Formats: sequence, structure tokens, C-alpha cells
Amino acid sequence: MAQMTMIQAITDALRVELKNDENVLVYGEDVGQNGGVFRATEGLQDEFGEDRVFDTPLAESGIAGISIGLATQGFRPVPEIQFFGFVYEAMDAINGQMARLRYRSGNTVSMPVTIRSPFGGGGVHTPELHADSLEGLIAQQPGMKVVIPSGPYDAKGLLIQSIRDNDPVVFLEHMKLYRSFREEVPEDDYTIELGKANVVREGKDVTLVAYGAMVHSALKAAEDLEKDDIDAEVIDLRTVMPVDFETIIKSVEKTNRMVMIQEAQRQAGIASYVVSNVQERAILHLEAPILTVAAPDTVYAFTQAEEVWLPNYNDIIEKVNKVMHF
Amino acid sequence: MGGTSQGDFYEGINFAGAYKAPAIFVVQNNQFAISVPVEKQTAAKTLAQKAVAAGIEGIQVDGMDVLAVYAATKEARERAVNGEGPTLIETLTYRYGPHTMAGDDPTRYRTEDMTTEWEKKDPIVRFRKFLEEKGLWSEEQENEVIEKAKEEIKAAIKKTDEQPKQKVTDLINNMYEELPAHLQEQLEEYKAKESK
Repeated sequence: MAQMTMIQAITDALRVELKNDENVLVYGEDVGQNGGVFRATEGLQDEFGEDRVFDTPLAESGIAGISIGLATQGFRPVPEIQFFGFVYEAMDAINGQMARLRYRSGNTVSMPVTIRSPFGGGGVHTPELHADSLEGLIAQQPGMKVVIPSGPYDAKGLLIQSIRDNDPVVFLEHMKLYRSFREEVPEDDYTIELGKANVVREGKDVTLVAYGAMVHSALKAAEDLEKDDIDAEVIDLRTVMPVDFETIIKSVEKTNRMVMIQEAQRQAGIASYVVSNVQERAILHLEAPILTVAAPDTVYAFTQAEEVWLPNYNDIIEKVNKVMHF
Repeated sequence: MGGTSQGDFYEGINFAGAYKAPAIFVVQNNQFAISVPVEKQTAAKTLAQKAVAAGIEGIQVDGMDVLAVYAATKEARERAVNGEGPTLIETLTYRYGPHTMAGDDPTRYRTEDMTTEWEKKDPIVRFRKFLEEKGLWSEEQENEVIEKAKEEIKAAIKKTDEQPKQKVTDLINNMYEELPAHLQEQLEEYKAKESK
């Protein structure tokens, strides 16, 4: 076991899969000699050669587009979109083509593509279209899976599983988590099943459902709520498409209260999807409406207003108190 | 430079050509898209030749030569205003520094020698020499310009620093001509938060 940051765990997962399967290819803008703008692919070109790990022209639709062709020819592509805001350039290739090939081919063609991409705010103060939480755009497309790890251990296990999955996965890496803490990460390979949530803290009074960096805000809130005798359970979705409703419902049946937390803007999106399903399946177990913590419905804020704009610990405490005293 | 690899670039020059738009496309070819060199972006020998397929004028100029860039742009402008259609200008130049100050390290993808070669062609040095030889420029004049520019920058920074800090309510108010009800609610919510 080694102590790794999330970025190291991601590099390690890529290395494991490049070694395990000669059909795995890693490519994107600046991922070769430069090792990626966040160094996620550091050293991989030297180790596996330019045929396996390579730079592409600056064109996201091309990066996603060639992945479709490569996947149909037996490769297992792991392309990188340098920042997830750039995915708009690749939306036709992803949602319009990649997501649909299995369906179009009458379930005869697999699409084992894993698109990795950094996103998320509050860590690196980026210009526009770098930090946006756009997971909802992909999650709305039937045929796609969307995975968002909350730390190093999960990142490695989920990335390896995503690469081995025969359907297209968008694997989103929150920039704030890249280097913010270390965790014990096994050096050999291991996988974490997609579509399974993780109960990261057990509690009996209220269920906090979150994913990505918000898991840590939820955990911090849960710790402090203990002082007010509120025992919060925290669930990390890990995969936002598909969502593990079973784990959430089980928890809500115990706690009878829930707060849904996402960094993305409130309109449409993952939170709405989760909440609507929970109320359909567990309305008689609820003692209060499910409240949502989310960013306001504006374009992503510039640096000056970023900290206020992003949902935070205080918003979680406020919403928990509301559901507890409904 | 990297932008010329995007599909949107081809669509843009194609539209401009199809509509004979009075447009000038300036491609600043600084040799790299962050770390990836022009040779890995395209097999085309020049970026200017991409104009050919779009049926528009294309010209490659020494982007380190102020007067060459001026001449090419002047000609392109004349063509545009005379209704003769768009022009693509590729300027050959170089980025001395990193792509961003947030961790880009140019030593990972290019040599000192390459930078030294481009420094020899520095457009400011060359233009200064040209003007001095013509008796149109002196050190005093240059210092004056530099001082004036520094003052202007200082004043601009000061003015920017004096601006009120951006608030979430400002962002909300900039979203639609008329705020929909859900945003009106959020506006009230953030007004309350900001007045605390």
C-alpha cells in the first residue's frame, strides 16, 4: 500500500490498465511528453511508447470521434478532454454517436470508451468553461455512464472498472481533489463496481447524498452536526449514471430525512433526478420534504464570486436544520 | 494556432467564403498549442493554405515583422471593404513564456535553443532598429513611451481594484432580460445572504 493523491491514483490506474491490456490507448491534448496539464499521464508515454500514449491535435470532437472508430476495431480508448467545459465541442460525437452505437447496432457493437476529464470549482481558479459541472449533460443521454470519484482510493478502482466496462463512460475528476489529500491506495489492481454508492458515514437521523468534492463538505457538516445531536448518514454516489437508488432508499427508510447535495446548478441535473426517484419510492418514509443544496442557476461564477457561488458547508447545515425541524 | 485544428475553424472560414464576408482571420502561429507543436497538429505545410479549400485568400507572413503584418492586414482590409471576400493571415511568431502561469513548464516540450533563435527575430528590437536608422526614434522617446505605458497600466489596475466585488446577485441579474420566477426566488435568497 502507498499513500497517493488522487492524481497519482489516476496515473496508477492508467498504468495498470495499459499494462494489463495492449488494446488500451491513452490520448488527448498535451498528454504525451507534457504528461497532461495536471500531470495525470506523467511518464506514461516514456513507459508505453507513442503508439499507446499520444498527443492529438487540438480538437475535442476529433478526440471523441476517433474513439468511436477505435472502439469498433477492438481498442479500449481512454481519451482525455483537457477541461470538461471543452466537451461542448465533442457533444455530437459523445451524446449523438458514441452513446447510440450499441442501440443502433441491435446490441452487437460495444463501445468501451472511457473519457477522462477534470472539472469542478474552488480549487484551481480557472477562466470560463474550465470548472463547470456538466455531468448532467452526459447523464441525460441514455447509453452513457458517468462516474465521479471523491478521493484517491475510489478514483483508482472506479477508473480501472470504467476502462474494463464495455459501454462508454465519462469519468470526471474534480480538480480540487487532485492534490488536496492522500489516501492508502493498493499498488496492484482492484476494481469498484459502477452504479454502486458508498455509505461513507453511518447515521440514523438524516441522509446526506453527495458526489465528488461535495462528499467532503457533507462529511464535515455531518461531524459538526453531531455536536447538535444530529446523527447524519453520508452517501457518496460514486456513479451519477446509473444511480444506486437501493442504497439511498435503504438509508432513507432508516433516517426518514434527506438532503441532496450537488455542486452543479440547481436546474434540471442529477439532484432533481435523484430526488424525484426517492420520493416515488419512499414517500411514506419521509418526515420532511427532501431539500437540495446546489449552485444558483447562473453561468459559472468568476473567481471573485466563486466561493460564495459554490454550494458549501454552511448551505448543508442550513438545509439539514430545516429538514430536522420541519 | 491550435484553434485551426478545431472543426469550428473550418466551418468559420467556409461560411465567410460562401457569404463573401468582409472578414479577416488572423492565425497567430506561435508554434505550439500548449505543448503540442504545429507538426503534430496538421500535415499541412502552412496554416495559411487552409484558406485554399475554403476558397478564400490566404497569406503567411513573418509575424515578427511589424511592417509585414501591417502590409498584409492592410491588403486584407481593402479586399474586405471592396466586397472581394475574406482573408486568412497566418503570422509566424513565438510564445516566449509559458501558456499559463498555473503550472505550464515549457522546458518539458521545447529547447532553450529554439527560444534563443526566435528572440533574435524579436519584432520590437527589429522595428526599433528600423526606426532609429531612419532617424524616427530615439532612446528618450522610447523611455517616454515606456513610462507612459506603465502609468496607464497602473491607472487601469487601480481602477479595476476599485470596482465593487462581483456578487452572486449580479450574476443572477445578468442571466435573462426578464428574470424567470425561479431565478427571482434565488435572487431574494442571495440578497439576504449578501446583506448579512
